[in-house]
Amino acid sequence: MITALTLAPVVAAVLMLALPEARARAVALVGALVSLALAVWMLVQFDITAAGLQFSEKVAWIPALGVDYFVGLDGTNALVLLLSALLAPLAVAASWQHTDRPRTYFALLSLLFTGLFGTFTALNFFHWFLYWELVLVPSFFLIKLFGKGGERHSAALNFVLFTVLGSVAMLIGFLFLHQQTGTFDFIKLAEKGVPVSPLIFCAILAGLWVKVPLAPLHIWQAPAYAAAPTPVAMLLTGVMSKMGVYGFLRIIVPIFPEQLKQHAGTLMAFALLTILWGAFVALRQTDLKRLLAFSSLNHVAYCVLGVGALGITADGLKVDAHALARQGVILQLFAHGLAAAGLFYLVGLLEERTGLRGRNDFGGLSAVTPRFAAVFFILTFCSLGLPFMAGFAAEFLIFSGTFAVAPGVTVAATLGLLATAVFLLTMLQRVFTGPVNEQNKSMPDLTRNEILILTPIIILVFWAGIYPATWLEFSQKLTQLIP
Amino acid sequence: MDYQQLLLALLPDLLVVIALFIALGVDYSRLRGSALAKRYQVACQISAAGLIAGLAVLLLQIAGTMPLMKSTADGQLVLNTGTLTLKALLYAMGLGVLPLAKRDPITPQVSEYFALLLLATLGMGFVVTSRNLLGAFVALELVSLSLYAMTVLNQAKRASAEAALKYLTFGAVSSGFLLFGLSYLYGATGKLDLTQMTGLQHSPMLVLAYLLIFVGLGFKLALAPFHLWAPDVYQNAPTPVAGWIGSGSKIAAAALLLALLQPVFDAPKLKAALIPALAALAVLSMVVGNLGALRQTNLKRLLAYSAIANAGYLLVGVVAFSAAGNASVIFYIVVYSLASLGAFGVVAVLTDKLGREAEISDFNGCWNTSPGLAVAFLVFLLSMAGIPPLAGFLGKFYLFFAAIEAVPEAATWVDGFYWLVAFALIMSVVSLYYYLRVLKAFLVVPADNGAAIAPSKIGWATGITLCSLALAVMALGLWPEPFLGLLKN
Repeated sequence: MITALTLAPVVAAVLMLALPEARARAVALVGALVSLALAVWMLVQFDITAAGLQFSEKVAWIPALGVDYFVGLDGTNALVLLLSALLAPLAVAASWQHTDRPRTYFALLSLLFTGLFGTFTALNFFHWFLYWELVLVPSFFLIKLFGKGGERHSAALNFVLFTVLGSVAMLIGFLFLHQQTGTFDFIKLAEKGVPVSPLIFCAILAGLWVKVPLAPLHIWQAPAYAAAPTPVAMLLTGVMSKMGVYGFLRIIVPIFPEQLKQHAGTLMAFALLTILWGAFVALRQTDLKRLLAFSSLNHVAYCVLGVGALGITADGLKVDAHALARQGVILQLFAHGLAAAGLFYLVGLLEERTGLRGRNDFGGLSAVTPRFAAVFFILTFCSLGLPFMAGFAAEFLIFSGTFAVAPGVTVAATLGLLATAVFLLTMLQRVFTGPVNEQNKSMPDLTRNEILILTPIIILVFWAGIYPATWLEFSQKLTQLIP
Repeated sequence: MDYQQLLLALLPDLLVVIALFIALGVDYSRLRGSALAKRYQVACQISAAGLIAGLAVLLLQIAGTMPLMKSTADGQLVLNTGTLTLKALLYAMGLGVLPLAKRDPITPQVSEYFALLLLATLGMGFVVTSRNLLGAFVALELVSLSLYAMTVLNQAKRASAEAALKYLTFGAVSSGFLLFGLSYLYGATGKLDLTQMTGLQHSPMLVLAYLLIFVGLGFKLALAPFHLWAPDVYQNAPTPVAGWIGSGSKIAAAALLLALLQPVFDAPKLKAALIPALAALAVLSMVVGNLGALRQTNLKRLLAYSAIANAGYLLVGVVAFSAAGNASVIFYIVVYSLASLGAFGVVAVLTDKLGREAEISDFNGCWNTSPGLAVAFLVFLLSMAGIPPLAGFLGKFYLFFAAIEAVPEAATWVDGFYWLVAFALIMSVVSLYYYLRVLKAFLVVPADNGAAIAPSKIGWATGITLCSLALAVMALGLWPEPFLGLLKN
């Protein structure tokens, strides 16, 4: 089942090469929709009362290397899988008007989907790493071939070099783990609890660090997000930035509990640094895409803050801080993915219509394009963490968790929230209020197709905000299981 | 000795030799004075028929349907699934070189060209199946001499003659070193049969023997600092020949290196003495290859430096001195060779009409005129760069895996091969840069004056060759188990 979900886009990509160029987009959409349908079906069938893996598949693959093909679904990856399966068809739909070499474009996009689905479901290091790296190839080419601006070449190269160097470190770390334990299996590794040297821990951490990204290894991020074509930027911010945090939850927390305990303080400090760095740098950005990139940096770092909290003992507290933090992190992945992807899409639409994306290039758009403005406001407020929206529920959970164990850091992190509010509200004010800019007077409002793309995002944003229980249920059992 | 058995065991080689003589005979007698194209056509067909027949017999031998002796008494021939698979693979790859050689009539000595190709292939087949010092050496010389001669086939080209002379002089010296090393090995052990050399004791003479062997084989593998011939030869040899130098001969040399090192496995002190030398060669090759490739503008020259770098990676698996290490080395060199032959094949097809050695910028806009070739090239180069899910990735992974596993008691970075693996990994990131630069020319940059390089007719034989090479590279990456299983023997 999971295999089918992962491979559907690849099959679509191969079909695309055989079919006429004009059909490429439709084939890509069908592939992505098949994946989405399977993901939804699995989540509906998901037994929230059962502990452990579901829908797992395990086949011996390369016995010489101790590699099994092993995939499965549990509370940790259920929501991110849904998120990526949801954003996949939306990204295809968002690029419906794409006319430049469509066959290449949609094939690369489909390949990217497979990489993402694979990363989130693989439970054996070997093919997890394979997918993890596979994601890079289409992203690199999508940014380089189809991106905007002269900066795209260096942005794509930096993006790949940073990530690959991180992965290289991680690869050595896992080769060491295998030598010690004889397995690449994430689940088995977690059970064995190997003692490792700090260097190895750092090596594995480095790979995730770059991917999240955490300061100071985030400098590839803003140029890449800004240069990527809009649908790719949606996936980069919506899903790819989640790969790193997911790696923390899947690898660092279960396999290195001791090391996490030792270094939780440092990790939280770096998360805090990233939160503040992202927020305060975003204050100074005038390019909307770069602004959103730094906002994304800031929001994803909250997740790492939550992960850090899992490493601090919470004995004797009245609240189950770990459960709160863990569920918060998982929900934040989902919530931020939706809101950030939506916002990037909207800024992309602005750029497409006017050719501009500076914060100060617009003005009074709420009068010109009321529907556009409404959606933009909703998603921005979700990012801000306004109650009854997904962002609020998630960040509230994370902060309740971290506050219980590390009040100082949490208070400092709320400074980031404040700065977020300032730059997001400034953005709204500059773009949507004030006098209407002459050249944008005739900007068309959202079309029906665009609304269709945004509807699922809006619904889920409210659903996860008003009744987060539906989504939290998936990870409930998980938090009870692991002390 | 049972001669009937021997005949049966050598049947594939005999078939190829027969085809070789027929090709020569027909070309000299019936086709005297015929058009060049016709002579190429016939020579290619006869050679192909010989290789196909040989390959068919080899497959029967591997499948076990032919009663086969396991080995001769003196280790001249060791026939098991592993060695036979390699031999079959070399025959199949040799078969792939034929249509490439046929495309470009560089020389009027048609049948010699194909005869030399067949001789090189035969030699490679013997190198991988022989475990006797003399037998393997003679076979390796057969390969080398054929390759020297083929390098200079295009007599209209001065650079070609220069490269061949360089290749020959360097090669002769290195063969001397190798033979010297082998004689020391024989002197120290009193045996020629590698399978019988057991219980080696650490002695200065043995260390010297192996160091000399490393020099000799280092030349064949293009390991730095014995690589100086490679860029010139790769650039100036006829492209199909360069492809054969860069693939088949590498497999043969790597297999021979492993066979020669086999007796060291249970001699810990000797092993400890040899590891620093091998590691130094590995590091040096990776540095020279990868940094050298960065500034090349000629595509074949770049591939030469990439070959040097890949030989360096290969040694990372060799220093493991373990069964997994050996398997990884063979797997890697096979995968590399398939990709390398494929890359040279694409270059050969595209530069037929060019009349000079191709610069990277000559391939600008290739994506628009010949998308199929561009995609095939993408597969080959990404595999060399180690991008998943292609076989190159698995190959590198396996090498590094074996190196790390080899020293289980290592607690620090210095004890085990962590530093070596880390270095190799960083170097493979560096290599991404130049591989992507080449791919950029193929796939992204538009042609300078609107006229991109275009192949003459590709032809079905070349098409099938390139397709099957690309498919093999993909298949070995996704499902290597059957192949690894065959090699295990």
